[in-house]
Formats: sequence, structure tokens, C-alpha cells
Amino acid sequence: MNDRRPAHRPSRRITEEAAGWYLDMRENPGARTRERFLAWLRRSPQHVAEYLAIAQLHGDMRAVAAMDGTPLDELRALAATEPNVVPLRRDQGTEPRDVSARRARRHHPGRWAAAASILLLGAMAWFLGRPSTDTPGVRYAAAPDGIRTVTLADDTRIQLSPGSIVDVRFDDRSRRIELVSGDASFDIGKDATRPMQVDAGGQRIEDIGTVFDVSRHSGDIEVSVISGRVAISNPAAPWLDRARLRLTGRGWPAERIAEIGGGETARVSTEGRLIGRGKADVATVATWLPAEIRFHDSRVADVARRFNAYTATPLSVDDPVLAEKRISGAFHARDPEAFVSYLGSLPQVRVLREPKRIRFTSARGNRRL
Amino acid sequence: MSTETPQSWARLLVDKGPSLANYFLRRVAHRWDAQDLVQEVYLRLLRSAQGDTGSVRNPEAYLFTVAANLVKEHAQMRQRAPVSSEGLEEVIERLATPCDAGADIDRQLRRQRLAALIDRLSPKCRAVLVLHYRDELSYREIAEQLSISPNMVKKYIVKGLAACRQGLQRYE
Repeated sequence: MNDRRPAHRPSRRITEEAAGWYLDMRENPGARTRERFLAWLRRSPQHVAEYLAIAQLHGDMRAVAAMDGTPLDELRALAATEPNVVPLRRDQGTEPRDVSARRARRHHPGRWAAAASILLLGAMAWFLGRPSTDTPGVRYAAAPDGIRTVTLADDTRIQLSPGSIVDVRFDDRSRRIELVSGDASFDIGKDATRPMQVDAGGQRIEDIGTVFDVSRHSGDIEVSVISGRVAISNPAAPWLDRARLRLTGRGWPAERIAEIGGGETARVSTEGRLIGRGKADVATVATWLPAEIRFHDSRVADVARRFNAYTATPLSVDDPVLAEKRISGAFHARDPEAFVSYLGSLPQVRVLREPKRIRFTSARGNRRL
Repeated sequence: MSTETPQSWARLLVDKGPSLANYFLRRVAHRWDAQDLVQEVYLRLLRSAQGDTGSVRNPEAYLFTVAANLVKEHAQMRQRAPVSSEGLEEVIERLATPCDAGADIDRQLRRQRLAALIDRLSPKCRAVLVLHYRDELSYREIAEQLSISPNMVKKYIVKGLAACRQGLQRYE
């Protein structure tokens, strides 16, 4: 009433309290909590305004989040890159802050939490201060009864056969993935500044922008390239490699074993000897991959990419409008042609068949609707 | 106005809370009008419970009732034509289906900005918000997915909402 401060600069504290109360009210609060909430609302028009604003935001959040197509795996992988830190400030939302008797009582846990956070921050600073080449990786494992798909921050897509494990270590200079065991299909995201290395059983596979499968069951590994080209090498001892990487930014030069391209397969022993090399029949490679590609409300570009684990002529969606279009359906994974003709049937889409890939471009330039 | 909200109304109001708040803050009139309305809601809130704090059983539903009543009165005042006497349900029903083109554009713009703000949150905070609002996972489920405690999940939602709210305000 007498206090008519402009409503456009609420303090962060009131906003956070409002958000906290809003969540509390969604959880079937008891009579006492409601009473405290009412007392909070009555503290100033600002409190009322912030609460209404959070209610409004809550409605928008649902709509906006629904449009976020980031898959769960990727959200998790991204979240895992952020260290767990105990916030210095305790939650402001769940209880009224100004009751001084309460504050006196709550002083101690607050202090302990702060002290613990400082210790933790100290530990982190120490940890981050160490040379970064040994950054602990993120481990992804597929359940024993299911295939797991992981999309990494650089847009690399890994599919793991049931029970398979990979460790992923990315830093600002390099991208390394180690196949610890099992089979994996890689569709490598492009990043010219950070080369991609896939390690399996002591061998190293290097490439830029290709799709290939790696199997590691005993000592030998088997690499099959679906599209693109990879180099397989036998790197120096890890400690040598790391030491050089730390000093010069480049790893120890590795001994090249073989270079294979699309439709080829190579088998390498633990000692880094090429045991066999031949044609990879795309139809029989990575038979563990799902036979069907199902998608619901997914971007055309993402769906097209999923086919690329199966075909020697990858699909590339060049038209940005088409790439963003959302579709639902199911196709036989080993029959990308069905999907190609489906896309080709869409208005304003042109299919260009090139020797190494199939491109989808816009026909808008010629015809105007 | 009674401080007692019938049970069914309470539920209706709480369900429609976000759209009511939206209407209240945006569509009723210009910003200064909204401020006046907030002020008025606040005054009524104070008046309601003088002497008798126990009389408001569901403060949130009550808050939204007060707001909805004000919207109704405000509409009557502006148009000098009585809104049909059906009462709140009708007003609230109308809130749920906004048709005003200006409000739509306004909302679209706000949502675009909100999407940009969410993208800029820390990866954990963003993951928590998306899992909560898009995938409708419980705190516990989110906690399991991200290997943090359910309590932390709630804190991240609070932080995220507050950051978005404050971020959106910079545009206003």
C-alpha cells in the first residue's frame, strides 16, 4: 500500500523464494506449510507479483521444454561434465527467511554447509590444477538386455551392443573414446580442431567424420567401416603418449597398421598385427544393431543419421528447413532406400544421388509456392 | 468475497494458475495496470485474514481467486458492460484459450527468449529442468538419472526458474 516500489526489480532472493513456494504448493502441502506460505505472500506486493510471475513462467516452461529435442542420454552426458558442487547458499525457497528465532537456530547447519562447500571447492581447485590429460572419462555402458545410444556433445553418436562399455575423454585438444569391451558403432561428429581417436584393445582408430563399427571381445579387434575412411594404428605406451601430449600437445606418433575405407573390414591382434582384411558386407556387419528404426516426433536430420550406421552411401540432409522438420514412423533399418523415397516424396525436396552419398536439398529455388 | 474456496474451484484455480497469472500480468492491460492489480491483490490478501489467519485454507487457490475476481471486475470497469454473471469459471475458461493475436505474439517471443535462457543454464540445471518439464520425471527419477540427490533436484529447479524469471525481466 504505502510501499510502492517499482515491480520490475525484484530481488533474486524473493524470486527464488517464490519458485520454492511454487514447487512446495505442488506437493500437497500440510496446513502449517500453507500458513507459512500465506505469511510469505503477505509480506509485500513484490512477493505476490513474483509468485504470479513464477506461476506464469511454470506454464511457459512446459511448452518450451517440450520443444527441446535433446535426448535424455545427451542431457545426462552434458550434466555429467559439470562437477557436483554444494551451493554456498542454502535453499531459499522452502522456508520463510526472516523469522529471527528460526534463523538463530539454523545458523549452525548453514555454517557447516558453507565450510564443507569451501573444502570441496578447495579440493576441486587442487584437482583442476593438475595436468588435465588424465581427466577421468565418462563411462557409458549398455544394459545386458538392451542397445544403448549415446550422443556426445560434439554430435558423435555411439551405439553400444548389449553389455558393451566405452569410456569417453574429451578435452579442449582431443577427443578420445575407449572401447572397453563389446561392440560399438560410431558415427563421428565433425570437429576439425580436435581429432577423434578410438582406442580398442591397444589399437587406435583415427578418423574425421566417418561411420564405423568396432568389436572387441577377446584380444583381437575387428573394425568395419560403413562410410568414410579410418586409420588403424598401434600407439606407443600410454605413459609415453601422455607425456608427449602434455609437453607438445600431440601424442606419440603411432605405428600405422592399416587404412581402410567404406565397405572394408580389418582384424588386428593384440600385438598390433593385421590378421585379416576384406570386404565388409554392410548387411552382415554389426548384426546386433536394431533391425528397425523407429522415431517419434524426431528431426529429419537425426533420423537420416540413424540410417548411416547401416549404409555405405550415407544420407545427408542439406536443406535446413527439411533437417528441422519433425516426423514419426518406423522403417527397416537395413533398407534406407525406403526412407530415401519417403523423403523424396515430400514436397519441395530434391534427392541427389552422388557416388559417396545421397543428398537431400531444397527444390524451393526453382518453384515458388 | 468469501475466504473459503469450494474444493472444486480450488482445484480448477490451481490448474489454471499459470494461465491466470499470464492473463493477469499481460493481457489485462499495460504494465502499470498489472502493478496496480498486484497491489490490489495484495491489499485484499491482507484484509482477508486480519485477525483470523486460519480462515484461508488454501492460500494459493485463494490468491488465484482474488486475482480472477479482480480480472473480472477490471473487465467490467473497462467495458462498462457487465460480464455475464456465470462467475469465475467462465473467466478462467476464457483464460485457458487465449485468442488475442497480440498476446500470442507476446507469448511466442517470451517463449523464444525462455528457450535461449534455458540453453545458457549450467548443463545440470538445464538437464533437471528439461527432465522435469518435458519428460515429467519425478524428483526421484531425475535424481537417479543424474546421480544427484532428490533435494538437489529441487534446488536446481528453483535456481533454474529464478534465473529464467530474472533473465526474462531484463527484456521488459
